[in-house]
Amino acid sequence: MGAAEGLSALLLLLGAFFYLAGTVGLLRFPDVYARLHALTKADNLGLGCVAAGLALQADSLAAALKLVLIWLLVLAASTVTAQAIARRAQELGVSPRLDAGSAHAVDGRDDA
Amino acid sequence: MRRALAAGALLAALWWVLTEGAGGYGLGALFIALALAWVLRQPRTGTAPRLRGAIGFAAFFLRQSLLGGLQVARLALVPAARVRPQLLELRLNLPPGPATQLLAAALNLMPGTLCVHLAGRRLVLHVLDARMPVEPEVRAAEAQLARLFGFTS
Repeated sequence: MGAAEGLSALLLLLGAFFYLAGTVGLLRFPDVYARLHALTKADNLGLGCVAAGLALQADSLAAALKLVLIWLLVLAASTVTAQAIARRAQELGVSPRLDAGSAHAVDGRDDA
Repeated sequence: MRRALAAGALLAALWWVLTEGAGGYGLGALFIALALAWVLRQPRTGTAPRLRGAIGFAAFFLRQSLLGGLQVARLALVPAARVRPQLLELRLNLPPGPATQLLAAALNLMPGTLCVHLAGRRLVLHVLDARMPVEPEVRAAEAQLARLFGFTS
């Protein structure tokens, strides 16, 4: 096994680890806002590792860049979706569970 | 003219990547021309993105992505770890428009920040861990975007 293949396998395993961590966060975190953190951040890094790992095995530079493009497109979709869900939850009055020690209210709506 | 050349070169590179260098440039030219016509009809917003700013922002974004993923992994997997959510309201220095929208989108992918509200210069963030110094990171991201869009202050 060459160095590139070894690094590729390591990156793929790392990617799987971050996906798993994101899923555990999705189950463990207390409310919709915290769960969105788990999905966006962990999947960003997880897919980044997977795409980098696969790019190392790609046949051509264009194929490797295509994987980077896929990563960027998924990031764009994920961040916009997360923001849309968070905004709608805020508009529906879903109040985030704030840390008791440091909570002070900030109203996310303009016409409250 | 510079705008058309830069956009055309980017779109041609995009076609090359999408086809994995397999050619099909007859069809490609058609789609590149259509996309270019659409791009050039969009209203101009501020100045053209700076190449140096784009490289700086990309490096900053990669580093923050790594930190963000590691933070979520730690909070999710370490049994004793607990999230300490907090809301943070900020007044942005960037002019409202593509720059603030890109900032909000980038912050969603960076450590511990999620945009729940953006109107004009007013930004409300959901912060995953109140112990982390979030505001300096937001200001750093804002400064990166100001350089990217050429709003040097």
